[in-house]
Amino acid sequence: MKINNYFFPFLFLLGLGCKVYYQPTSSAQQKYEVKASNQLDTISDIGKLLKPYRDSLSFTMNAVIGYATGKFEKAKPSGSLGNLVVDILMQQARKIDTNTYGAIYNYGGLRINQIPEGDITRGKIFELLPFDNELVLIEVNGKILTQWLQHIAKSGGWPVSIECSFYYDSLYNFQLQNDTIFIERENGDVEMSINRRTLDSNITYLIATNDYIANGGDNCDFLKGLKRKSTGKLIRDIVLDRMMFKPNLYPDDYQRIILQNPLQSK
Amino acid sequence: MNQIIQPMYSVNRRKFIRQSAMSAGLLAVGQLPLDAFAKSTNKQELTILHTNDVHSRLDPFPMDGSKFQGMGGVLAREKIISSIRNETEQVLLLDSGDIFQGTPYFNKFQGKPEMQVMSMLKYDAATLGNHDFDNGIEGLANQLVHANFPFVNCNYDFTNTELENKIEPYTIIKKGKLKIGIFGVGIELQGLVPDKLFGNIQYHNPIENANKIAYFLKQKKRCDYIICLSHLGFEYKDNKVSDKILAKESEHIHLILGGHTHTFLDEPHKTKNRKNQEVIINQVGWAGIMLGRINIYFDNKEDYDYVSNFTAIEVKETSA
Repeated sequence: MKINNYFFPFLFLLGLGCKVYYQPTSSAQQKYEVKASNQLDTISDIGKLLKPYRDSLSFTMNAVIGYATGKFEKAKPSGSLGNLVVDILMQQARKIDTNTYGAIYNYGGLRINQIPEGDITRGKIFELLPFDNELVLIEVNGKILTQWLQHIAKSGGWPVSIECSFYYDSLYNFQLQNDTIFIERENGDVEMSINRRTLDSNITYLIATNDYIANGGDNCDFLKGLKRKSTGKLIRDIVLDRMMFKPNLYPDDYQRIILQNPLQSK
Repeated sequence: MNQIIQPMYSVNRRKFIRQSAMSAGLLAVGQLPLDAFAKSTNKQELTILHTNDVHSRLDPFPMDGSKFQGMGGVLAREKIISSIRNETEQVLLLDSGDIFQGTPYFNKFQGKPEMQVMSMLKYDAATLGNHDFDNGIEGLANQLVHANFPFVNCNYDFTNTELENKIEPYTIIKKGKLKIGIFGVGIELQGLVPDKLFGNIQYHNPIENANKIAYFLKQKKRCDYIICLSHLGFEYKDNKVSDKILAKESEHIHLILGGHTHTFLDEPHKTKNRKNQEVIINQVGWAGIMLGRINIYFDNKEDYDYVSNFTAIEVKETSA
């Protein structure tokens, strides 16, 4: 009987002790490069699932619609891939309104990093410009345009069809140079017409961009509510149409945005 | 670890640890009785596999001379994942958002094959990225029916939207004897996602909410390990909230698996939280080019420890 007196509390304690907790003591890591050994596997369950999806896309998306005469790169402050997009938009915008001053596109709106030299498929343009964003023309006064360009400079540069240079200080405050000169580029792949102007805060400039940015996207709140002209044309369709008309694309990697820290350059 | 290790289909766990440890310069092999982990029931091991910003890349990049040609693709990912599942039991597979948008698959099928494939790969949980709202709240809600795994987010309020009750702040998953709390944090949608796409979703402070949930998972749910799936981004030049800032200001979070900035980290970033305990942050680029793996080794203890002393037994770094 004496045993029982000790035994029950012991059982009780055992019951409490059943719950075991764990604490992490060490870690190890690895990363795997995912590389296809057999790209056309249609045997596995996932391969079987994907096949009809892939097949229904392949006819339109694998069609070659153009040719890159050289490599296009997405880069900051400027790169040939961004230059290509804004130049095509600029041409389209000028057809809609000859007063269009420039085209600006957000860096994050380009969704692939490069187009290699060679054939270009329709699918590649979908990958570059997957969003169903529309080309819009917005009326921006010189003050807001300066703010916009500073925002662009601060983020390291966006695709622009115009040229501008900035000085910045150690706190990354960007100032348009006093004698800022805008050089309008009409046609990035063939020629450019140079028209030097200084930005005037009282003048209204007509800028071509996408509706995502015009609606304040990528932290461009200052563009919200500006007077705008909708074009009803998707950015991607504008590029696809341009390639149907002129399939050869020529890379232009001219640096259109110049960011310099005068203290560092001295 | 700087070099990329090709998938090792038949590697055993000891070899894996040794290789990872040596190449990462993190563990001096022999300092820890690692072999004991496998034998003793007092030890537990968790293998965490993760992706982020896959952006509808179901197929590998085409062989067209571009930088990532031949890389990615769910079939190759499946092979790696299944070989890991064959070699070890307690595996978690997680994604940190931006599943959608980037290939014609999404333009044409609105995300259905992405969700189906992730379900077949047996993802355990995912969080939402900004591009997962590219077809609006309804567009996302429509595709969630094809996912057999939970989506977690704790700093978006979905009340009175189509997503109400479809996204949970957290999920708890048991693997073997381990209880793992997994929650999600999302990036500020205002200014990033068009207003009409995120509609009535209210954004709340991710750090406050993360700490609240982590505390809850730790104190109330008594989780052994707490993982934050984040789409905040790894780091920014300014003081915009990021995984690095979240980690520094956090408590109880062990691991942050991030996304958004498409950051290819050579190795997981290790930092300290506000209680000076270690937090691991990892991100594996984008497009499913990489699959991340983190193994966590656990020791048991009789009492639940309300204040983690993870740092007290932190693995020593070796310079040799």
